[in-house]
Amino acid sequence: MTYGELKPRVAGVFVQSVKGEAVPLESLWQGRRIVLVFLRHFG
Amino acid sequence: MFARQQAAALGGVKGRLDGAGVALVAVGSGSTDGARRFAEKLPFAGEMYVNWDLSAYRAFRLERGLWKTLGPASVLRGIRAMMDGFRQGRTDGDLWQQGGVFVLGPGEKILFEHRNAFAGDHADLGAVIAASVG
Repeated sequence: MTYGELKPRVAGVFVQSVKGEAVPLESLWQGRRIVLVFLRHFG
Repeated sequence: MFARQQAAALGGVKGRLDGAGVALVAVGSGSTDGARRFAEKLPFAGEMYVNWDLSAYRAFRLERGLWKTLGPASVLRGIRAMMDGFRQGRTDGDLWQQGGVFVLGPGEKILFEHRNAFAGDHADLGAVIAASVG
C-alpha cells in the first residue's frame, strides 16, 4: 500500500483517547515515527 | 488472549523503540473503559486509543470475518498461546475484527505493514523493529 492510497482513506477518521478525546488518526504519525498496532479487541 | 499476547510481545521491545525515538501506539475496537482495564492488567506502556466504529480498521484494509476468528489456523494459534500462559479475559470490542501492525511516519511514510490474515497471525517482531529503527 502506498501513502497515496492510504491518505484519502484516513482523512476524516478519528480515534478516541482513553480520556475520551477525539484524535484525528493521521495526526498520530504526522510529527513522529510510530508502531501502530491494531488490536482485535480488548481481552 | 491474542490481543494480550501481541501487546505483551510489543511491550517487550518498547525499550528499543523508545531508544530510537519511535512511539508505540495501540488502537482497539472496544470501549475506553476496556482500553484502560486492558492496559492496566498487562501492563501496556504504549499509547492507547479506541475505534469502536472500526473506521480506522477499514481505512487500513484490515480483515474481518467470523471464520478469520474461529477457523482452524486460529484455533491452533490459540492452543499455542494458552501453552505460553495466555488466557482469554473479559472481551470488549468486535470479536470478528482482525488486527495488524504498521510502521508509519514521520509524515507521509509507510515503512512496514502487516494485516493479520486470521486471529493469532501476528507480525514478525524482528521485521517490525528493523523497519522502525532502520
